[in-house]
Amino acid sequence: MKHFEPIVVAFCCTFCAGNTALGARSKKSGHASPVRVIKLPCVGKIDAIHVLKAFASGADGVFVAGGPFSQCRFIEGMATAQKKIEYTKKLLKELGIETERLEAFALSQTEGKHFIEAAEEMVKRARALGPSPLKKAKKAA
Amino acid sequence: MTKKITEEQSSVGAVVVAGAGIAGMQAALDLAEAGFKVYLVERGSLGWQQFAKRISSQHVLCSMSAKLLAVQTHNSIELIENATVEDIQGVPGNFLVTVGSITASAATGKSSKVKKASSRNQLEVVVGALIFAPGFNVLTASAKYDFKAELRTLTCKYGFSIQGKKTAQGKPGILQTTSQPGIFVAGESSAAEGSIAGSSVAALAAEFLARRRGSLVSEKQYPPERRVSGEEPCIGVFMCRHLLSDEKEFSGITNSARKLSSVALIEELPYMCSSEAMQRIKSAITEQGLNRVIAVSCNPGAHEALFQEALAEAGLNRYLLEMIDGKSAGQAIDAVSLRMSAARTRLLDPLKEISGTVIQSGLVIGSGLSALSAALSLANQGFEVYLAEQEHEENAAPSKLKRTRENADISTVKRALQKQIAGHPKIQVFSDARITDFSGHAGSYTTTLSNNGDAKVLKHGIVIVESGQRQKDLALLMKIPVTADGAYLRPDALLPLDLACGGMFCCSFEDSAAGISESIIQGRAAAGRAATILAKRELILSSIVSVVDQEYCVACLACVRDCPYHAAAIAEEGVAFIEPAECRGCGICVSACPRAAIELKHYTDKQILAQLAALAES
Repeated sequence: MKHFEPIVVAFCCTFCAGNTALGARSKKSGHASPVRVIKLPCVGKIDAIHVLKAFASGADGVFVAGGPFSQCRFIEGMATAQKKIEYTKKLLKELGIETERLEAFALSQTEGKHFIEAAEEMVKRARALGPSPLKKAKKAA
Repeated sequence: MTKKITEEQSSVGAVVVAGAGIAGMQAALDLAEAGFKVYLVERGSLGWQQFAKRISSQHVLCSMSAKLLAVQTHNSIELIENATVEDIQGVPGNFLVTVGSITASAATGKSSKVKKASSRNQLEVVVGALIFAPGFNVLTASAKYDFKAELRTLTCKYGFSIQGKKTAQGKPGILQTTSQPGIFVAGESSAAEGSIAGSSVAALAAEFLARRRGSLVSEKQYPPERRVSGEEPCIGVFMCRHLLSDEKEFSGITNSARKLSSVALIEELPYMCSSEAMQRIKSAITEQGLNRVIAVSCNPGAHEALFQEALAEAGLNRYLLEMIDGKSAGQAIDAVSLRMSAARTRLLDPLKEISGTVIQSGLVIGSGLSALSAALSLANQGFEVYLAEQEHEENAAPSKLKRTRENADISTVKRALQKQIAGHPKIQVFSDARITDFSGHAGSYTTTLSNNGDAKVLKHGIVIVESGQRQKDLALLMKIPVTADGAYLRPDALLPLDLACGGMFCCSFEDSAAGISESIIQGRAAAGRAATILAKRELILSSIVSVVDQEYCVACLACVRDCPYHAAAIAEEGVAFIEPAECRGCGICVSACPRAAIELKHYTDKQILAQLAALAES
């Protein structure tokens, strides 16, 4: 079997996305597989359809990165995102996709390294699980 | 002063800033944004090429380059290069300033030499005030640069003396006033200090000319906006050379971009945030008929507005721009990311401008020297000020100051400031105040203060917070982003007093053991920054708002219930309506709506799904 390099999609709020750059500036991260970042003004906008579309387009892992609950710029953004992600996990289960492939992270807004840690965690999980079942199903079809 | 005209003349809402170092540029920008006409006189010439020679740090260089671009493109700043101030006549508030051009050799040579008037080009301008901003200039700076010598030359030449030497302890001009009213001096020794000195001296000049604010500036005119709705997407991609490792990387990206159907043009530019790059983008838009632009640069937060401006100047709607952050962690600029971006860009729509009224008053929180100085400067600039002195702040702030070198003078200076504040008609002081509620955005904030058990609701356009006591509580309550060690996050290295949320500033930071003059200057500088918002009647707000499709709405109240800003309500028609000026564009209502009747502009589901779908294509 050829080397598996997982595709990870990250939905970031503008504040988090901006700060991932701060992290990159302070220390260069040796990132093997780039995370595909989808910028949202607030992660509270996330919907099950976005996550499902990401998996349908070949993602092996998806995560949402917002600010810490108490400091969310949009007050309830992260809490809303958390609820949506929990709901979407149920959908994934019904579809036969491992729920570990999806996660919501409340990150410290100013620490780019936390974003990198979250990304690495998702890559690690996807590696352990192998390619997404959707991909396998597509190949079989 | 060679001659003094004593008769009373009305003052002029314009300022000469001599010296386009960091302080000079910042002073010019702050004054221009606060409604004054500015003549920025620089001995050398400005351009990113010059910066590139001097500055080794890429990060600082990018910020500098963006600042320079802002100076060059500002409607109210007239940049006079290769020139010096040769003569000053007139009275404070109404100076006649002669600006003469100098030859290139003289510009780089001995600056202190007084040049004789000859047949060279001269220009006369009438201004209300002058700011001399010599010192750390990125063009002429050297390790042995003698700031004091240049100031001495200046004072001899124009016959004024620098005040405040006694408290400034060997740092001449740190208090920034001179013996001549209307003439100010910005001292600076490093980049960060330079921009504080610039904002502070701008505030001084703005106080001096407060009544003439807005008298000489005109609104910037844009060409009529091109209609793009009927056109096929035609995208231009512009990338900053500094984000690419080599030619090979660029050609690799170019080749893959060429395969994208809507991409008409892909170019790398030496500096994305230079005026040359902006010119190129503008001409490409008109010549090639581009109707969407993808800009790949660093720091989108700081640069997005500049690119939007370029689009507007070329007749394109500001929202037809997509930014890719080339420095983001784990996000590489490659064929896939470009393809995903292009998919979204194709679907971008022009958006209507939304503006909000600015409440022309400010809230200053703190009771230290810098907070007092900020409050006083804002009030002197003509704005209403609420000064909220935090509970128990007294215990903490002085002990910090006691360690500083001007120990003995602190209470004297503080008492003097407090006396001025107590008698100021524009300042309301709330002592022992506790902030219990806070909401709003730049230009329009609402704060509830608890003052000895009484609740007081204040409306204001900006906030200035003094660092120190209760910082953790304040940061949580006011949603101010902080760093890992609890300090307020200040995202722009060259605007060290601007916090991460619009319209919020800090006026002293804990990493500097501030003395009297530094505290006063930091406070005043925060007031200078704040004035750039308060001086405007209206602020252009983000057009990224949620819109209800009233055909589909069944008035289920999901959006009304979930909107964190209470911007959604059921309108007369019996369906939901979201007030654009109240909407902050989070999109929580979009995910709450069971009928998918709400769309968040610029982040529509269609755009997001297209971007995701492009991940699969290969």
